Amino acid sequence: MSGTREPASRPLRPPRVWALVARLLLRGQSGRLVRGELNEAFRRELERGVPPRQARIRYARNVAGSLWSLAFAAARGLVTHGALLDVKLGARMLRKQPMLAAVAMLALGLGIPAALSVHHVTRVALRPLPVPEGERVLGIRHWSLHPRGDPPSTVHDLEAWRASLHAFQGIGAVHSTLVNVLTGEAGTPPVRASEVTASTFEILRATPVLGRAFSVTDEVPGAPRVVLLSEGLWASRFARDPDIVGRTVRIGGDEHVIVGVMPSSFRFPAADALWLPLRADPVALGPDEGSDLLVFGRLADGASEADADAELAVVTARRAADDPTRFEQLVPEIVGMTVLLMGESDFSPTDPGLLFVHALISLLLLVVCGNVGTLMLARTANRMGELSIRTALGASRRRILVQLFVEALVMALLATGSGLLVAEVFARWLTERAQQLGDLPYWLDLTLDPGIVATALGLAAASAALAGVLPALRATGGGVQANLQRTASGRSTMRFGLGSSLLIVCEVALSVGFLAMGGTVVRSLFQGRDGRLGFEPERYVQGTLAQRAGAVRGDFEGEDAPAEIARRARTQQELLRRLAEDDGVRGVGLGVRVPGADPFTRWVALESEPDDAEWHRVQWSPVDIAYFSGLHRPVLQGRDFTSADLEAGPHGHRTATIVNTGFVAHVLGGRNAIGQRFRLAGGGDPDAAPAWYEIVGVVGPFGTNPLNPSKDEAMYFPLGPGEASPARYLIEVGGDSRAFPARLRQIAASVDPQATIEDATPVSDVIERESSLYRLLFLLQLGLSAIAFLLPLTGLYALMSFTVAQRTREIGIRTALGAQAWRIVSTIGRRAALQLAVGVTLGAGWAWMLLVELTGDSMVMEVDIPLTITVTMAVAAVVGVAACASPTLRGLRIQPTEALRES
Amino acid sequence: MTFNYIVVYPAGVVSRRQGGILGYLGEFEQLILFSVLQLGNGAYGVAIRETIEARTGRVVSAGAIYTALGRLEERGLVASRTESPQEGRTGRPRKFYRLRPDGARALRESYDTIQAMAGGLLPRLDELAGG
Repeated sequence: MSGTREPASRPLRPPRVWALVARLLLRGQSGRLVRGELNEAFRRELERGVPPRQARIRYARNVAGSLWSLAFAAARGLVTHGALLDVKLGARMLRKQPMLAAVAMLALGLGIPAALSVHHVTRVALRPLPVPEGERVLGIRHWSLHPRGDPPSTVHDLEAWRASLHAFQGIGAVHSTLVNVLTGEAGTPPVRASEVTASTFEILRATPVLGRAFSVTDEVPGAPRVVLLSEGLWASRFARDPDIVGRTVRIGGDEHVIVGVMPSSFRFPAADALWLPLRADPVALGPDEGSDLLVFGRLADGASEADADAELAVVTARRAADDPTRFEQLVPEIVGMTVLLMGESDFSPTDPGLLFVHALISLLLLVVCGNVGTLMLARTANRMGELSIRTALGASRRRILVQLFVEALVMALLATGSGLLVAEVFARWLTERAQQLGDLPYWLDLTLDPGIVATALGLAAASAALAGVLPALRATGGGVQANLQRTASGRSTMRFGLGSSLLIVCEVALSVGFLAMGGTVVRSLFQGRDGRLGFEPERYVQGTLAQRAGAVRGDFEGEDAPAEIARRARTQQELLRRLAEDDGVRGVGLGVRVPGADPFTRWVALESEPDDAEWHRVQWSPVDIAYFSGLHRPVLQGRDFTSADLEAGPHGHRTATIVNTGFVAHVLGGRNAIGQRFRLAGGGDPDAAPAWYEIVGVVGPFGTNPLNPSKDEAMYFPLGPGEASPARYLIEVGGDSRAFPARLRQIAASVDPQATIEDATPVSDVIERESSLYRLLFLLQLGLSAIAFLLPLTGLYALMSFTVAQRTREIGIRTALGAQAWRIVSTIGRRAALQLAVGVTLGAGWAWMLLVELTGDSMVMEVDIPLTITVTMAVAAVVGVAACASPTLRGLRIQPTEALRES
Repeated sequence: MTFNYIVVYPAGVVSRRQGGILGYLGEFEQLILFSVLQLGNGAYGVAIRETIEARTGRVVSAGAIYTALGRLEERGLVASRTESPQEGRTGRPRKFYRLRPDGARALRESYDTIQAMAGGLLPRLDELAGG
């Protein structure tokens, strides 16, 4: 209390900090008045005998309360009085200059949602499972330093982690597959099923609506076969039978007892229709054997992700000591469930790479804002007269700033709102499509959440501040007198600074790259396919012979694999034979991949090339040995596969391959293919002797890469009977390909009543379906390229408009003195031309880099890079000049008499 | 049924036909107007604040008083005059307020409204509050 004593000689003053706050924030006439009130109140309280300490506290409260009240009143006043008028003015400006508004709105409407897209996708990917404390459920996996790719987790990993990771209170695994559920209706498509550990339900805190979840005893090999149904399947196939529990259902070849029904909210991991217990016997399997598992766990109470990470590192180091070959290049990691399920690389919000992308996108947004700002500056320059007169009539600078800000805000909010609306529609469509694809996590929802909408609107406000207030600050910076004088003489008071010029140069440079990219994408998208596919997709039908549950699970339960293959072979070969005999069929082939579906590439290195030579990306397609003969595809060079090719070569694997003419042209450079040997990346021990494959034949193009026929390098590997998994049939039909799928199902049912044909579709539809997603991605890329190209054009347009507005009088005088049109054009266009030239030249290098990267993609066609860049530069220059045309013509139309009269 | 246009005001919705916007006063505004009435010629910010605090025990900020008085003045319920410090005395200009007839009517109406609503209910209110 002694601290409150004041020296008697010194007058008591309000607390310094609060007095300073009041002084700084309470400004203007009303602020001074309130400050006076505050000081007087403080003095009078002391006079009334309030203790000094108390008086000071009350003073501080009085200041804080006053600030709040004044700020609130100011905000309310702005909303009810000034802002409404400004909003109206803003809307009127949009109507008055529709082109400028359209360009600025397009830039902001696309720029802001585009800038937030990465942020949004990151948030979606990091979103936890929608289960209680879902953020504590995490995935466990290895990734490989070797380019052959990340190894899948196996039952050995699951057992090792279960035994040694104490940071998790439970560890489970899932393996997804397709099964036939036979409920009496013939020809029903197979459904997605997952084999899960019993612990899964505890980890996910999921309980069935009927019956029970799995118990550990269900996991034991040889235990009675049981199944859990999804609510959807229970409703669609069993009419919500309340007595379903205990009944049996035939799944694949075996009867399973239904033990429960899971609620519709549980579809783990991806729109699953039923669950089977995961029966894995590590003793019967080698370290790399068994099905691929996705392993996950729930963190133990008190344990953090970092604890789990550290413990996993220790456990992996211990396992690596026991098995150095397997673990040599493996790195363990704990990842989010979305990342685990989608097989993506791990990342965190603070990932340097991600931060870099964010920075890059923020930069893009800044460029967009800078550009819109430039446009606004040009517009403001044309309104200098109006603004100066308003200032002269008593409008404060703040009032004008607020007006220009609100005008920009109206535009930015309208643009962002429209952009968000489009983004939401697109996100809904994408989410729906993702769920239809069926392999994506069921909780993946790309629709916009309130957080992202708020961020977008915040960014719109910030953009409005950047694009509206900064030009306005410059416009209102001069004195009233000078502004009025300049306005009267027809000159603008503003200058187009070096910053704006640099911005335009950089943007032109960037746009050349984006234009080159967009052009290449367009060419890839709309390249002619007819005749280049090597076949007519409309005449072909494809269908997959669905696996029975028993067949899929055979590997897992340690059943006799050869017997399983023999069983599968019988059905496959019989169906092949029956199809070949059918009157409506001209040819039939069996393979793992058929044209248009599931494109899959592998990296290839030729024996004839040095070790450090670049690897080639080639489509990989294992086919039945009778594939080409069955489909009447001639072997152009060498020979077709024979049954002798199924024998293992000297290195323990089959060596014969057939390649297509695309391979010969692009990989071999047109050399004779027969006898050439190559090896694949990503197989076997990297230190072991390479496994060489020998080319024995060459076939023509056959829809290897229908989306981009210009990159159709393909290699075919021979498959023996029963080895095709999935077993896809490609059938050339004589009649209507749309009518044939029903016939295909009929024939399949006659071969084996349990066999079903999944996705029986004309190949043209498959190609269309597969290409629609790529087309969409390409179109997005094209859209972004278009914006990036549009921006500098707006900058150039603004610069030219600005120059013409600024030099109206000069142009008038020169025209009066008889200056020729080209001289006037060179005067007003010199700066824009220089910026255009520098930008286009700089852009060539950037375009080169982009094109090299882009054309590496198998979906993008190979282009002549120097030619593309030259064409792009020319187009950019022509369009740049065109952007300047309208203001230049305006300049040329200036009548000397009018310009001089105004001066 | 005819609707006059409705004015949304912070404390509620009032039709201009019934009582009118001028007649509607928030509680804080009523306190200020009563203080102005009581202080007569000496009604300025600090004095109003002290009166409210002395009579109701409520501590309000100078800024809140100032903005409320501004609003009341805009609505024509009070009038103000600014007085400079007297000759030879140091100090600051003060803004004094007086009640205008519209303000007096509005205050009377507000008070009557409350009284009309409260009529005969106070014993029950006390009973409820006590229980």
